[in-house]
Amino acid sequence: MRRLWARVDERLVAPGPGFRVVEIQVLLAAVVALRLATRDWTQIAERPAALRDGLTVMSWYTGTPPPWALVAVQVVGLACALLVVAQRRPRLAFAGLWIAYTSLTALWGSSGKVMHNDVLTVLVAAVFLVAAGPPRDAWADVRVRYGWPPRTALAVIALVYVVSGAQKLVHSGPGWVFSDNMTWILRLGLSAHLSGGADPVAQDLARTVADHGWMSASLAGGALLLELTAPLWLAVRRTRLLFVLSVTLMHGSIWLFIGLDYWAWPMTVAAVAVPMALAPDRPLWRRRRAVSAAGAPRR
Amino acid sequence: MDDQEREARVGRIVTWSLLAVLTVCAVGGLELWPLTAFRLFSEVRTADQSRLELVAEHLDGTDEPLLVAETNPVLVTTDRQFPDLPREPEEVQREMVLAWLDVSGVDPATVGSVRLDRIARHYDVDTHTWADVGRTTIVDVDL
Repeated sequence: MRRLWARVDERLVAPGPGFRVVEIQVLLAAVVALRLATRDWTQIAERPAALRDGLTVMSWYTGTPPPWALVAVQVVGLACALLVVAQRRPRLAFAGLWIAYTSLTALWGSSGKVMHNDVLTVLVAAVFLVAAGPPRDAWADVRVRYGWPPRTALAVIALVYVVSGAQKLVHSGPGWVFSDNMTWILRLGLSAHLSGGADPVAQDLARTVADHGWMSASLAGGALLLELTAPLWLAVRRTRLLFVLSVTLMHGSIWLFIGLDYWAWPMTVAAVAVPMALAPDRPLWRRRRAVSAAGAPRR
Repeated sequence: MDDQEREARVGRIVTWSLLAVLTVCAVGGLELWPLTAFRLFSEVRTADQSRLELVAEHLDGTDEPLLVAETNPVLVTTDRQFPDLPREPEEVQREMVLAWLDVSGVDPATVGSVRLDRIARHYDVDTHTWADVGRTTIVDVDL
């Protein structure tokens, strides 16, 4: 056991290339920017203060923010995302982006229901608040400081999926898969619009799966197995892409069948696991080479 | 201690602290968003289903369910606070109910009281629809 622990620790803090930190930081910034840009955050302002509920990082603020303030935070967040992508003061810009996104999503989810739609992105991005990327002239430097942040991000993703699966077993046991649980999840999802939820896209397919016990049990079993085995998929470089595809299928089917938007999850997994599926010396994209005043490429 | 060792130490502290906090939240069932216990669909769903509905009782004797036509997702999910309503002091109950009337576009001056009903539901396999089969009032808040 001690030897296994030492191996995990050794792998965690092994040196890595500087460009990998930049790639993941940029991809995460793109995911967060997409989430920030595609939601009407001013809807938060319509909720009376009496209906604020739930403990979040924004619980210290008890008022109802005005729409202009919400839009201002959104715009600042998007501007920070652009700076991260352009690699201008990326560490500071990433912190600004994370604060804007976390504040807005925390306020959005302060209505009584624990919202998980953006939580994986917030947690994984938090790792890169303390990660420093390489200087412009040291893109390919290999150091410990560039090695652990991407691996920590993988570890956070793995733990979140394992915990999500384990909670199903703890609170429901094998019945989560082998009872008609998924049938009723689908049937309830199909009626979610009655209580203000979104209409699922593939309603007929969802009904077909719900009406065939073996199909819904297979769907439940596949989802649970994927969650519980996440660390194995993510520990091995060659299976990381398969994990990205599998979680995209899982979250895609949730959206198709019951209308829940969990797209931030597979996008976050992809932002980390796709670059980490490449050989350590292979960047995801080539960096434009900086040119010196004399016209010769700088190292 | 050289630079690489120092960087490894920072990495260890950040990583194991983060994983430990996430684990404590999961085991303890703590919800301090974005730290959460990740209980996603963790309870088994069965054919026995019920839902809670807030109903405005107008002074003219008519009833009107609240939040039904609401399309703002931030407001719709406030229905998760319905179970808390019976436990709240009267003053807080009135405050919450007035807020729900407001977001549902119902004039409080036309309403005598608001009640919270638990509605038992049955699924019809042939028509693929849910039908309400029983209604019990849990709390009635006078305005």
